[in-house]
Amino acid sequence: MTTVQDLEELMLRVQLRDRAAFSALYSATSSKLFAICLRVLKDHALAEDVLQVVYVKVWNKADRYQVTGHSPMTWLITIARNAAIDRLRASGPRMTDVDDMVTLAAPGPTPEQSLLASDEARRIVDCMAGLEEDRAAAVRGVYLEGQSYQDLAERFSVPLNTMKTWLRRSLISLRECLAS
Amino acid sequence: MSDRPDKSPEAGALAAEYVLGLLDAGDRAAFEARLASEPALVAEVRAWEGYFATMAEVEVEDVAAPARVWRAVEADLFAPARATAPAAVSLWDRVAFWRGLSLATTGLAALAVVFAVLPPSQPPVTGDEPEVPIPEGIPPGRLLMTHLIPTEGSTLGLAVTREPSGVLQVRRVAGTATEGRAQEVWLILGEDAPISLGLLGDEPLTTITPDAEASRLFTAGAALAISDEPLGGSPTGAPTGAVLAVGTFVAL
Repeated sequence: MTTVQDLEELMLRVQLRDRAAFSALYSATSSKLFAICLRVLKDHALAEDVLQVVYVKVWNKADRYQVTGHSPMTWLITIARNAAIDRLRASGPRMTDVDDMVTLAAPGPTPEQSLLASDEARRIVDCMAGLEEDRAAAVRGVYLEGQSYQDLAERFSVPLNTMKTWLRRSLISLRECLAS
Repeated sequence: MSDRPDKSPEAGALAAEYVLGLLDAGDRAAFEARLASEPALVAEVRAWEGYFATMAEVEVEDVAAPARVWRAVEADLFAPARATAPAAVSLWDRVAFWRGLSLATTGLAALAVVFAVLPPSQPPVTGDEPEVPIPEGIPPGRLLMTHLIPTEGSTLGLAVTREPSGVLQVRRVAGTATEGRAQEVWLILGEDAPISLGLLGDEPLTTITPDAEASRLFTAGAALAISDEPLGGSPTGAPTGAVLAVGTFVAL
């Protein structure tokens, strides 16, 4: 099991162009990232393709990691998920790329605080469980399958505007639960 | 949580919609403009990125990625610059490896073929007579041959002769055509991108007549490789699938 501290260390070494660390980082994280790409794209060949692009970005943009203040897994998963969604959607606005992720110029959690990731994991799992089942499913559908409001409206057979209101309310409850 | 300044729940939901990718292009641009001047909103975005990524980390079961992805990443980042598609580069790396192996074995294969084709009255080849020329370009009219040996995990083996006219006779001596897939023949010279010579037929013997330009490139020392491709051949013009067999030409 690779700990958050191990991954932090690997990320630091990758920034220093340490190929062995990059290989270790890939070994430790690629199964999760591949699973997420696969979940979004539902196609092995496409998921492999995106995974390759993701790790090329990770190496080339490793210096961007620290300024986001994210934990290594959050940074990696966000890059992979956004790249997979972009591949899924032939058109429409692009997702945030690695260069455009928000940075620590603003107040926010520091890398040290990201060591509390296990608490955060418990909190998000608990708060998702606190949502009504179909609302949690809608949130998952958007994050992990790239569904749009239109997709969700069709999936749940409700008008588009109702769907928007419905999901925003779910996000507000989720946010309140997470902040408590 | 000290990292989350007070703000309206609506701003929090909007940040979540931004992170999720639910905003249309106009709203997305407007939100990004606000990010430049509203640190609280930035913190909100970062928090949501963390929450959703953590949710995915916890809820999505790992799936091991095939080893070829890592090879492709390494080839993309660390292989010397080559003007070929990423998949072709990783294939190339394997070809280089197998060609090294085949160089060691092709001499033996050539000896075997010489035995097979020479009339029985001919004295057997001995170590004193260099029957297998050293690769150094091929005199006009000479026959080139190679035996393509299967790569790891493949059963495909081929005997290939290039007649003085330039026609290639490619015969499967082991393995078969694959249902629903094509087997593509590539000529490989040094560090250059592989050149497609065509597809193998379903029958054991395939005759290939390379165009004039490709014909000039055949020399002793050039390598031939077979790759697994979609029906109809590589869609990119460069090898995209696994290398099935590889060998190096010698002059007879």
